[in-house]
This record gives sequence, structure tokens and C-alpha cells, in this order.
Amino acid sequence: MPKNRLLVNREIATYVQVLLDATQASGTTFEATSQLKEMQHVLVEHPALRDALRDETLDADARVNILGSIFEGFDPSVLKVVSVMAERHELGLIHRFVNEFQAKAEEALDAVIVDVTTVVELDDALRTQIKNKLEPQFGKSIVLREHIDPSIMGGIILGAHGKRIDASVAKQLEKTRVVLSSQRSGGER
Amino acid sequence: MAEITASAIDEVLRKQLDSLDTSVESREVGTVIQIGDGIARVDGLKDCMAGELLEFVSSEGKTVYGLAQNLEEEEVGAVLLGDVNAIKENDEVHTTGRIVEVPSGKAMLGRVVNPLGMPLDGKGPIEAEGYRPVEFKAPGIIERTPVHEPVQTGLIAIDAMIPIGRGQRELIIGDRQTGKTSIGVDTIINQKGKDMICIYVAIGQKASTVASVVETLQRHGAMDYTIVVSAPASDAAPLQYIAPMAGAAIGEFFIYNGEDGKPASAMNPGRHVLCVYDDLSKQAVAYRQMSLTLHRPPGREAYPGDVFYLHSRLLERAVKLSDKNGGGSLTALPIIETQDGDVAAYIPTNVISITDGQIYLQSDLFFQGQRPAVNVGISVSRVGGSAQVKSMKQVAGTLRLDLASYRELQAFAQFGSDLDKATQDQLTRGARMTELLKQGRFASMEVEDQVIAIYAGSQGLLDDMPVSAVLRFRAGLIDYMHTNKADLVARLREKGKLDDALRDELTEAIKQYKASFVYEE
Repeated sequence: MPKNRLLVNREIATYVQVLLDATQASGTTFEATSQLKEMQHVLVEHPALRDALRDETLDADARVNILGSIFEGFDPSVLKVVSVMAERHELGLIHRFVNEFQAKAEEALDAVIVDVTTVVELDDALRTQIKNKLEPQFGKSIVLREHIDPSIMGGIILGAHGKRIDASVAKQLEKTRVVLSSQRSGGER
Repeated sequence: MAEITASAIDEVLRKQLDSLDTSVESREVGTVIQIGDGIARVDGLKDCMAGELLEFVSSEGKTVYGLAQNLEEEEVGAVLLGDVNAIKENDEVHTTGRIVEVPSGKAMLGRVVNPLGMPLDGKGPIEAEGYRPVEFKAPGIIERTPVHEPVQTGLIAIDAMIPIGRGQRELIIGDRQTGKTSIGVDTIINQKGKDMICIYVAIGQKASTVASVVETLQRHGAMDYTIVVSAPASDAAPLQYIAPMAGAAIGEFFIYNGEDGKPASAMNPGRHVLCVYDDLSKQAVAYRQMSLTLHRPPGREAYPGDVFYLHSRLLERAVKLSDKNGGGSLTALPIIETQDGDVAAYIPTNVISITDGQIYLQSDLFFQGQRPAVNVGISVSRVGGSAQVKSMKQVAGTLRLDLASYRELQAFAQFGSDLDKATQDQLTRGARMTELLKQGRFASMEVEDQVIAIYAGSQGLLDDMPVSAVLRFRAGLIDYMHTNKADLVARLREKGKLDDALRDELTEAIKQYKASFVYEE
């Protein structure tokens, strides 16, 4: 039977608060948001893993061990909270948990976490330039979460709060391809 | 073939390069967290609208469109309209800020398209005159006018007893193999030269069946004014779900725009459109599949709670616009397939209650040779009467009730042979009138020919004739009238009603032909 919606909301709030307290104590709140995003990505990418972690026939210790071996090296508090979720068969809430945690972490850091994707690593001058450009938009200080992705070929992709600004070379080329392949001028009708 | 010159290439290239957009793209982005059965659960997209078109981008860069259906607290449930297998978990999803639209315009006439308006007939791309939203709120009372112009199906049984008006919604209902599609197709074929654009929407049918319908329409020259929207059984459920709405949207372009493609008005009249939805039972089944996979609660027969609204909002789009709005019309002929004649099932009762009448086809009548197998007792047209041609109304006004009482009497008369004269006369007349209503496929009749045939029957001029000779007599009579009494037929067509003089002349002409008619072949 599905759980009461309000109860689920309170459970998520509890997970978020516990992790926030733990990471604030160790000063790893920002790192925790990145690691949670990565965990979420891995769990979505591999349905077999997701199914295994939800498997009723596997006991709780086995599920926790699976998580421990896959996410070895992650922040222990992040791993612990997610393990508890797995023990309690609540990994289905991971998406809401990650989103809520990021929102709370931004509040705690008094900053907006912006994902920046580039082909080469950013230097400090570029970092400052991006921050200076974005701070007036959000009215808060900016924390950059950097990603390197050679497939974008050049330029930059910025993402925050579900919105994304794509100024990559790959996107410009794709747009050019769409325009050139879909527009028809002249010729036979 | 057009000659391609260097200057033409240069011009085309410049034009295309000018349209390149180098601006930075800023959009809302979500992530697919689960996918299966053509349904995707998407994380993010907080500003997504209900029914919004979503753009799924696969890791290989392929774009597949989807339709936002369930807006939940933390995620969006969407159905995919294209290649379901191209999209995987963690793929990106973008909102587009628009709802699903289909291209429309004169270039679509004669074409076979899918529910997104893309051509399926291999005749090249379609140059759209405009786009119409698939989901469109039907016009209100002020924009409409009562149904008053007829849609001639060319089928004597329907035009005489269950007349259909432009802007009406008339349901065609019956078991499988009773001739439902035939009525729709024959009606389309009969619209040649009648300023009607026809749209045939095939939902969940075999591709071979659709191909044969298209071939039939082509053979009879009906594709010139017809658009076929096809969502065959192999298409995903969401495509079958939007197919009738896409058909209506394509048709709406013509009624809300005049011949010149500009908005219709009193000075720029809209066109008349006939939409055959073949069939809505399969659309309901596709919608049920979608709803169940979206985890919406099942109701009666496992259909979702809003399946009534699905059909009512579609059929409400059938309209006869007022003259101020161009006077265009969209006539809907939805088809529903029943199981073993059960009209009390969920979907048939829903659609019966939504439409302005129904043509009920029965398998036993079909196998008795009564084709079209219309059961006149329970078939009805609630608004078509006011659109019927006056002369037809004069000769066939009581025909439906007379035939219904004949059927009742016929069943009763089987028990005894001692029948009074009046009853015998009624049985004689009924048998001949029933025979008169039989009609083959692709043998549509003009309304004046129908009037002449029914007049002959209703005046008792066929009563002394063997039943087996009635159809031959009808065919001969029509030929005779067109050959020898062309002026009388022309006057009947022009006047549109029967006065005493015309009646006398008609009776005389029929008697003349009857005198020369040989009963035995």
C-alpha cells in the first residue's frame, strides 16, 4: 500500500536534515551534493542495479554491501544515509532526496550551485568571470560544480535550478544541422 | 525537372545561412529516470504544462517527442510519440513551451499522413499552410449556428431516414464486419463536387486495411479532396490516442480559414469538412493502455475516469459556424465497434450519449442481404431532420416509423396466415420498401434519384411487383428518368420540393416506365 504523501515528505526531510548536519560538521556539504548527483546518475543509468537494491529477497546487509562496494571512496555520511534508505527499501525516493538536499545545501551555503561543463579545465580568471556574470542574475554568491566533457567540442554549458544555458560548439553545430536539413528553398514541390 | 544554376545554389545557400541562429540556447532541462512501455518518468521540468510537447534527446543525439501527461509533485509522466527504443534512462528532456500541433493546408489533400502530419505515402514533404493545435477547445454557443445544410451520403437508407447535417456528429455503430467503414468510405466518395473536404482517420487498424481504403478512394477519384490520417495497429498507443484529434485539427484549418488561407469571416467563408473516425473504440483502448501504464486509477472496464471527456471534447469540435464566422462546418462520423451487438457496454453508451444520433448496423440484417444493414428501429438522427432536403422529407417523412412497424408486424405475422387486408397491404408495402433501400457498394445515388425511388414505393406503385424485381425496377426507373425525363429530374433538383403538379408529373412518368418494365428476367 502506498505511503501517506505527508509521511513521505517528512521522511525525506529527515534524511536531508541528518545528512546536512553531518556534512556541515565535516565541512563537506558541497562535495556531498556532487556525490549524491553522481549516485543518482549511476542508479538511473543501471536499472539492474536499481532492481537489485530493491530486491525483497536480498537482505538489508547485502544491499548495503552492494552500495558500499560501488560507491567506495564516497563521503561516509552520504554513503550511510543512502544505505539506510536502501535498508528501508526507500531508494525510490532518491530523486526527491537529492533535489531537496541540493536546495537545503544551497540555503546552508547561502549560494547557488551552478554546473559548468567545458572541454578544458577552467582557470581562476575564467571562474571569476563566470561568477561575476552569474551573481547578479541569482542575487547570491555562486559555487561552481565543474565537469569536463570533450563531446561538447568547445564553449560552455551552465546549469542551475533545472534551467540550462547551452553555449557549446556542439549545440551550435546541431542547430546548424537542423536548419540546413529541414529548410527547403526552391526545387520541386 | 527544374534547372539548377550556380546563381540559384548561391541564393539558396545564402538564404539558409541567413536563417542560422547563433544565439545561446536557454531552456528547462529534466532527466529521464525511468522508461518503459512507451512511458517516461522525468525528473525536473518544474514549469512543464499539462499536455506540453516535450523533446527527448537520446545519447546518440536523436530527438523523440513526447507528451506531458501526469504532472506530479516531483516528476512528470510523459508518453513518447516516436521511437521509444531510442530513449534511455538519464537522457535529457526539454520543455518546448508549446502543445502538440499538426501541419495543415491544401497541400495535404490527397496525402496519407501520420497523426503528427508527417507523410506516409512516399510522395515527398508537405508544404504546410499553417499549424493547428491537436487539443483545441471547441467553439462556444455564440460562434455556432444550428445545423441546416445536408451531408448527402448517397445511401438511400441513410439520406431518407437518418439524414445527416453539416456540423452534426452521427455515430456509426455495429459489430465487426457489418459495413461500418463502408458507410464512411461511401460517404466520402459521394462528396465529389460537393465542396466538402474529407478526412479519414484510421485508428488501430491493419496497415493493409488502410492501404485498401486509400486505394478505393483513389479508384473513385476521392483522394483529390481527402486526407487520410493513419495510426495503424503497429503505432504506439499515444499516436493512436492523438490520431482523431489530429484529424480534427487538420480539418479545423479549413473551417477556420477561407479558401485563401486567411481567417474565415462573413466575407471569407470557411470550408466544409467531413471527418470519419474509424474507430473510437480502438482509440479508447489505446488511451486505456496509456493511462494504465501511467498508473492512473482504472475505472469501469479498466478505462480511466476521463474516457468520457476524451470522446466528448473530440466530438464537441464538430461544429456548424455562424455566417459571421465564415459558416464553415466540421461533420463528425465516429465509428464504434460493438462486441456481439452489445450497445450497453461502456464506450458505446458514452459515445451514443455524446453524438446527435446513431446509425446502428446489425449483423443478422447484413447476412439476410439487407445492405447497408441499418436497423431503422433504433437508428436515429436528432438534428439532421432540419437539414434534410424538403422533397426527401415529403416522401420519406414517415418511412422510418413505417418500416419499424413493418418489422414488428412481420415478426408477428409469422405465427398465422389469416391476416386482414390492411395488415397484408402493410406487409406488402414494407417488403418492397425494405428492398428499395438495399444498395451496393460504391453505388451512391443523387438525392433526386432517391426521392423518385422512394416516391414510387410510398405511392404503392411497386406493390403489385415481385420483391425480387424491385431493385431492377429502381435502377431502370432512374435510367429512364435521366434519359427521357431529364427536365423533370432537373426541376426536382432545383425546386428541392414536391408540389402537386410535380407529384402528378412524377406519378405519370413512373407509370409510363412501369408499363414498359418486364417483371421476369
